[in-house]
Amino acid sequence: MKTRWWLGCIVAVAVLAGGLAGPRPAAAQSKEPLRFGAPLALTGPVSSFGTQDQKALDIALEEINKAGGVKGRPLEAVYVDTAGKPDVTRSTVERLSQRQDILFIWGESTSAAGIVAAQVAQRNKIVFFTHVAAAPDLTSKGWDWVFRQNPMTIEYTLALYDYLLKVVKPKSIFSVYENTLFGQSNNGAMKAFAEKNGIRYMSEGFEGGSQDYKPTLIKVKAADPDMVFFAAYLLDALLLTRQSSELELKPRLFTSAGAGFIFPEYLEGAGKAAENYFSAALWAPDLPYPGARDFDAKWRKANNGKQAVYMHASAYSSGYVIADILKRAKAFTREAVKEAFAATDIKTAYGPVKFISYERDGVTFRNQNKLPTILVQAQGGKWVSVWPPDLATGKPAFPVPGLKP
Amino acid sequence: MEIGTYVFLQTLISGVLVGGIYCLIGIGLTVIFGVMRIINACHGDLIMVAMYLSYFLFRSAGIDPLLSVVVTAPALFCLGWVLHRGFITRLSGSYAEDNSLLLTFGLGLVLANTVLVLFTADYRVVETAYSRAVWRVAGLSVSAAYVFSFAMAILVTALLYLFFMKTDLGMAIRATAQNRMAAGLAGVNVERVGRITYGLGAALAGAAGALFTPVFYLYPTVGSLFTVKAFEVVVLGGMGSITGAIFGGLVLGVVESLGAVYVSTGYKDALGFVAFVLILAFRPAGLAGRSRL
Repeated sequence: MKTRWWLGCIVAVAVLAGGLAGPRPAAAQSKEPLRFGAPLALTGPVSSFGTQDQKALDIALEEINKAGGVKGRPLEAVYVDTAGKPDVTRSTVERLSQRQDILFIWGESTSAAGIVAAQVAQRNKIVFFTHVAAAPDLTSKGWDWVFRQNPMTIEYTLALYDYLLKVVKPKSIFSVYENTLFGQSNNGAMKAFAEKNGIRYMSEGFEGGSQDYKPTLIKVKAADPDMVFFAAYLLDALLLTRQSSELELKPRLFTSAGAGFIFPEYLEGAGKAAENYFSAALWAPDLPYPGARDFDAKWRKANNGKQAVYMHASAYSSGYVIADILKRAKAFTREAVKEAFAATDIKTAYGPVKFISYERDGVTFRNQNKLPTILVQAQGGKWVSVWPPDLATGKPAFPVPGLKP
Repeated sequence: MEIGTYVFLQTLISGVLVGGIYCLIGIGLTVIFGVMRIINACHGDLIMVAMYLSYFLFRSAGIDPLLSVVVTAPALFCLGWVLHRGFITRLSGSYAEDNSLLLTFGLGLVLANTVLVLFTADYRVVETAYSRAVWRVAGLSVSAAYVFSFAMAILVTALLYLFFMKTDLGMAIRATAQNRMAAGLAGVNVERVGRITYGLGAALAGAAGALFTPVFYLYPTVGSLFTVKAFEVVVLGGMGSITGAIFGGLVLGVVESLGAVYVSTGYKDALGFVAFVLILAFRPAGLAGRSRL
């Protein structure tokens, strides 16, 4: 200890030098990329979201950069893996906010992580732009630095509600939901819908990643509901479906809030057990948005023919939204970027994007993009849009063969 | 049958079968701890490695995961041997037990992240004829794949018993577990016994992994889930006791299952821990008492 103080000095100097030699501010160089932070889940139970969103955004960034970028400068996403853990998101967004060259933050992969990112970004006066986090809380708190491109959980199921009220008319609903922000907000929305329409409502929350859902599903079977509603991420969605079929659960219909259910991997993994499941969806390749079909074709080419789903389309389109914003920004500073975000009005493959304020169920949402949602059904191993009729490409199979009529 | 009875019986069956899985996870860990006093925090990750091995055997050569046990168990034995020789041997002295936790935790991280780098974070799933096969017994559904795991847990326990009671090596291991120094003085090669035991524990993890492949989804960090359960089972049942691991696994499985149905699903794991704490409060050494192989 006594004789090595000079070693300590050398180490201290080295660390300081390393710290000071960090990335240079964006304003200076001309070929210097325009950077934004991108925390997302690249590992862990929701890694399918993060890795696929990254892929989709990269397709967009590549196209944009090939066409010359923005004002001659390429766009660069600084991806950081947060493994779907909100505390990692917190420290990641803090760190990214400290960097001079990061203009805004894009992400995350779950609502639980998204709300943390939004909080930290709002506090550090840097824009948080989400293309997928869906819990209403992100835009209901009046945070002016938070912008959301996608519909909220309470909007996911609008097409489903319409279908239920007009066609199915269930007398009871049992909701099984993952107990973090995404699942809870879906459950809350479904509960409010049931209460408003005099439908008996039961629910059970579960811990995601548990592998065994039989106890919960046994309870559901004993309650004999007309409709079963799941809100889960991919891993759990597959297990819930499989185990429901093992237990011979037979409601009149199975429905879900999208998320884990909407992935092609879900349909592949669940096979026949998922046939005729309904799901809320935010987008389909055949919707009348410019570039929607093209994007699906590009995605299939890069992914072994797998169909693109809403998160992919949203991530891809967000790249173009970013490019548009940076083109319009008066300067490459965080304030100017925020102003440019607020003035956005662009048509993308995901739908029109304009961040506005509006009210729903008595709550005011700010900087939220307003898009219609659809209902899809698994038919022949593919998701087919079945409702509302003006956006549908197929007919819903109801009553569902094999289930309670 | 009447709905209340149905719910109870179905839940009980579900709990017992899950308990069988837990036993299998716990047996390997308890053997390692009982003999070597090493807290093997990478146990779950060893299971994960076996699952990947089993998965690739299935995908490339079409070998059924249940059969692949004959490959995964010896393969994991070798891996365990190497890990012990390369890393765990270096732990010595009176702090070996505490240090082993940190060391094996680190090994677990390396295993999980190596697999992550090599095979990406994508989920893998194996569909076999019996993955979703369900047997209907008096209106109750019993998952075939879980029953196989349960049967394997029983078979493994029986074999281990025979091994420990009847073979020279088994007795040498028990002697080392009872008193390391005395065993050494009596002529047992304690170092070698340690390596073999670690390998054995790893082989048991290997068997568990092969059985889980048709039932669970596979991703590099799934090991941490198993490790937590393994510890619950082992501490509950008595560290170092195989019968303890069996009872611990079954108790945990049943408590979680019944708790999930009759109390609340969200608190399922918490109830398992409550049972855990209660049993330890009245029987600190675990259900089966003192370390006794």
